[in-house]
Amino acid sequence: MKMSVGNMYNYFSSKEELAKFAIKYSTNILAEELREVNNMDITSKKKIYLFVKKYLENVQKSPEIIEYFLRVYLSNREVFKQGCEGFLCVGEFVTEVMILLDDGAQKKEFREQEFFPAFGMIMGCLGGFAFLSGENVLDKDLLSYSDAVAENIYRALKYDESV
Amino acid sequence: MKTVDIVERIEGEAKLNCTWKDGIISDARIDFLNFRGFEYILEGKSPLDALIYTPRICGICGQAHLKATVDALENVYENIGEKLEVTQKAKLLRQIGLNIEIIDSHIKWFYLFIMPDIIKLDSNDLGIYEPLKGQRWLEACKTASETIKSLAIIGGQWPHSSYMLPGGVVSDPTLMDLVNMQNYLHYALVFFEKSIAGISLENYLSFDSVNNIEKLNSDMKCFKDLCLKHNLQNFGKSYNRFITLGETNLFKNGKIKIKLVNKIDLTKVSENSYFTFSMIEKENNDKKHTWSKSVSYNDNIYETGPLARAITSNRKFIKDIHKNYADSVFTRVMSRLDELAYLIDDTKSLISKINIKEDSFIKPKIILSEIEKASAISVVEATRGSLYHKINIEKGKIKSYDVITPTVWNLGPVYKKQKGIAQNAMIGLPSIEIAKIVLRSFDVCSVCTTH
Amino acid sequence: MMNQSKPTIVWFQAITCNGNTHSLLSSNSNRFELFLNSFNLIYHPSLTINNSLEYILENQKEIDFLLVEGSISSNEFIFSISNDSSKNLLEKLALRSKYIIAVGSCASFGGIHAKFTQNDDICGIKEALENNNLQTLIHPIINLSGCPVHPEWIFQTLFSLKTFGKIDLDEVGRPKELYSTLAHHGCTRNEYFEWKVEGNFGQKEGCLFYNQGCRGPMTHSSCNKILWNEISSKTRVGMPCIGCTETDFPRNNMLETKKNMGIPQEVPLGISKRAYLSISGVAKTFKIDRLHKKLME
Repeated sequence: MKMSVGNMYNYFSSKEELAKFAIKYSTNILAEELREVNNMDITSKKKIYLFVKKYLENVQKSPEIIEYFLRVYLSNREVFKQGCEGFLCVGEFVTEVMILLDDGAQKKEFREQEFFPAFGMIMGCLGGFAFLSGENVLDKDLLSYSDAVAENIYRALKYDESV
Repeated sequence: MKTVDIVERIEGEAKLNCTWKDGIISDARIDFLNFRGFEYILEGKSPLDALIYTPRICGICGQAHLKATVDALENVYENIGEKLEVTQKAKLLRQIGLNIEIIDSHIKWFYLFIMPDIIKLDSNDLGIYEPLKGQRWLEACKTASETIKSLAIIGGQWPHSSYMLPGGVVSDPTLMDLVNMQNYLHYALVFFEKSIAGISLENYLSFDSVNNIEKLNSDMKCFKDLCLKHNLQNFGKSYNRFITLGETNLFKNGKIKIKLVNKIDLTKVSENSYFTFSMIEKENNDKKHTWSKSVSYNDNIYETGPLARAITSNRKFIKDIHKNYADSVFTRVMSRLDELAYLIDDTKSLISKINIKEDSFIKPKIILSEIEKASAISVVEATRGSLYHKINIEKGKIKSYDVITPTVWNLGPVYKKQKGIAQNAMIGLPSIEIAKIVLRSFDVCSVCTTH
Repeated sequence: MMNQSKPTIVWFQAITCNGNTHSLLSSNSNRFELFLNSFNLIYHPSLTINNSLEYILENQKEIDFLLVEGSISSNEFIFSISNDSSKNLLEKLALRSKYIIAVGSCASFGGIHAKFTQNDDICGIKEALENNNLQTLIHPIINLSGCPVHPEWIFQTLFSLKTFGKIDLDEVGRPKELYSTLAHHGCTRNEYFEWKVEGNFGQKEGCLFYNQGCRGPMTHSSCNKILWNEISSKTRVGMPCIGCTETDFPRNNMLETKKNMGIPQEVPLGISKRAYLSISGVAKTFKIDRLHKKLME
């Protein structure tokens, strides 16, 4: 976005408002991309791979979103009470993750477990990796880690015949 | 001479085969030719699904099966050392539901399934008792439909609710709900006082001698007069042996062959299929003639039902009638109407005992689908007598489910050379009309018999 | 031509528990009397005493309304009525009837009794009559599914047919006017459903959809519109709807909600999972205090 910092504040009343908008904007884009993945007629395993790739692509494209999320949202959570209601902000994105999990479990590609551990597992992996990226500690290009991260997530979720 | 008659209006039908000699029945056989295979249906199902299936064994006594199932499932928990906590409130709500169903059934049975036949012995003009048209027939249906609302308040609907489940009941009535239940039940009380007995309930419940019969008015008087006119106080006698397996605040369990023994050992209950058709082709032979099994207690057969309950619970009025008229049609029917009066009174009392502040349901810590292997038995006093359920659970599913209904006790075929209870009651009867009335006096539930 | 004053009704009981008959007897007494006065119920195996089934088969040449309760089988050994199989009897009766109405889920779709798979040919009446040329029939077979059926559904269907001659049916033969609403419509726990407040057995509060297996939002019936026994319904008192009017009744594990990773496997009729999860997600983030308290403290 080629705008001066000062100009941005003509549209948003505060840093917090900007952050709110930024998060909602970026997760909506991500949600749309994920919806495309969910609607594909491919295995849930492949969906995870694509899902991770798209997520990391977004992180790479708009790293400042992560900045605002980590530095502004997490440290000013109560600011977001009005009009964001926590989860509501990222509602569409969360819905797509739920669809992914529900679909995989129904197809018996993923094993049956409670929702939150499964959800936390995915978001923890992805969020954690985005954090590492933001900290500039990764030694290779972000997207080259995509398959490895996806493999970890898939193995954690997959159906276990032996149980 | 031999006759074969299909008897209807017995919650299904049955075939009555009679052999006549000099105008008297010298031998009889009762065939139930309808089999629905509930015990097969339940195999492999989840234990809790039994709560949905078993009430559908019967449309008129479904709640008795529901109670037997929930008791059996709770006994499973007890047998694996995880006895469930069930509040007094839940226990009361279950017993009340069962009572109301019995009250309803007794009313419908008397006016729909036997009174028309008794009147017909006398005259083809059934007057107020005429099915579909007669004022009393319609009144009886109305009473039944008003009274059952009391159960719908806690069950959601009747027939076929599954409001009882392991841990308690699903519903949580308010004080107004309880008042409404009393109001609907009151309908049955008024009908009893005005149309059935023609005297106040309080007065009726004080009866303790056969002489009190003279005080009866209205339909019970009409019934009594017709019985005496057509010798129904002598017809219908069988072995005069009774059994009551279940125990409630109103009914005492026990059996009486010669002497009354108030202790029951359920392991002594056993079914027999010698004369019963089998689903396995090679097991069938010419001797088998019915889908009903026979059942015995300690190798003996007994009559179960309201008459048995009156005897084992020591109800004076019926006991005195029994002393005079043994197990005749007259005694049997009187005991059913007598039970109706006691149930109305008892249920009013039970409703008043409910403490709405108690929990309706306490969730079990273990779910039945996690049980490796367990089994349990339950017995319930249903409308027509003792109802027995036995469940075997393996790997979280029903391995087998055995149901013995009261009508099996009463209408089962020959057991070890002894004629069945009702079968035996046929011997010596002078006409097919009387024979059918004797059959009806047992309050037969054909669909339950064979399930 | 149908006798405009009192059409004849023959009620045939096949493989049944008789629950539909007892539901009929539990109807409002005025409505029951009106029904008995407006129609000529010439045969019912539990109610009438003047004619046997045999007599009807031999003497009744025309039947206006044939009401069938129970499922059908050709296996006479396992199930015989009046010395014949239920299928043969059904055919004989159907071939002289103007209207045929399946009363209850067993007659409509096979129901509970079709689960007795050792008898491999138990089915509803439509299937049993597939290969018959029903020449006297002037209307498609009507399925009044329900386990049991609600007596008002019987009365209203019969009176409608008497007045209009025909009735609109849905794709499985049920009258649209009775089966186009869901059991969910009119449930007193609706607010809990709206705000995703989960329920428990034994409580007046909470929605039974999330854990107790309630099929209300997926089941076509009038149960919370035309109340049971005039005053109640299962879901109102806390028992989940078990979907007894649908073709897949009985299902497995009817008292629990099938979930995958905590997400209900089935969501309300016609609503996509995405839409349902989005709405649920939103509703769940708002914790409405009033709805998490007891109704009466």
